[in-house]
Amino acid sequence: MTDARFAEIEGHRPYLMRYALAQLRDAQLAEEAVQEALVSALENIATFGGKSTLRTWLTSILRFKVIDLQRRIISDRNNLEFTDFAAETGDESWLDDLFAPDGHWKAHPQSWGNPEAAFEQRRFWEVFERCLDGLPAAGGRVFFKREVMGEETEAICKAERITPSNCWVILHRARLGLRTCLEKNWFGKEASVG
Amino acid sequence: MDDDLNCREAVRLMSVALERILTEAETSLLQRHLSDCLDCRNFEVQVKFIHRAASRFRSGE
Repeated sequence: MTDARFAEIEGHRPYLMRYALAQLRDAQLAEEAVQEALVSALENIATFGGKSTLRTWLTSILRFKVIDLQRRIISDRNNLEFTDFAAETGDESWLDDLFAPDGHWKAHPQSWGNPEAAFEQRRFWEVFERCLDGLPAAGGRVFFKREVMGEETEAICKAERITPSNCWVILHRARLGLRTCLEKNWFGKEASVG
Repeated sequence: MDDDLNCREAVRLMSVALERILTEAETSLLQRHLSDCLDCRNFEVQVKFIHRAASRFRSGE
């Protein structure tokens, strides 16, 4: 095991932490799962054949750790902290920050040019992660499950114990929040406000 | 009163479209709005980009 390999694996820790948090909703448990997964990954690095990306491989190891932990905690599941949903249900006043009373954009979305070029830049992904961190906790979790992991909305709502319509609002808000954040911090530093 | 969408409603429909297929009526309302609104066309490109960025983020490449 080279130091470079070790550093490369460590580099995926924030992503893995996010994955674990989305599933477990408990920072301490998530930390534990990630730690166990990384130890196991380092022990088994020889079996990583490069067929998938390193991140995908690490995530698959973490997934088993998460499932283990979920089994362990299932009996006192109700003790887990549940919501900042109450604040988000049925209340659409957050949209007033984005839209004028007549329904038009307050800050006009700018053209992002050729946004795909950002994929090649490490700095973009740092901004992307920071923007994810800036979302309300429930929003970050639901967005991560839906858009990053590609889970079905129905399954997500069930796991989060919320109605599909609340789930949708959380997702909608997260998408808009992420968009605003990316525009502000990456694509359109000079976005005009109208 | 006309039945044209405003931006807030158009944006809502674009988010809905990521969860289910829009009805014909919804689609035509949305298209009508988009053809007139540069802001929302920009938004449409962006929300699709974010969708692709999220899948990329998953594979870490």
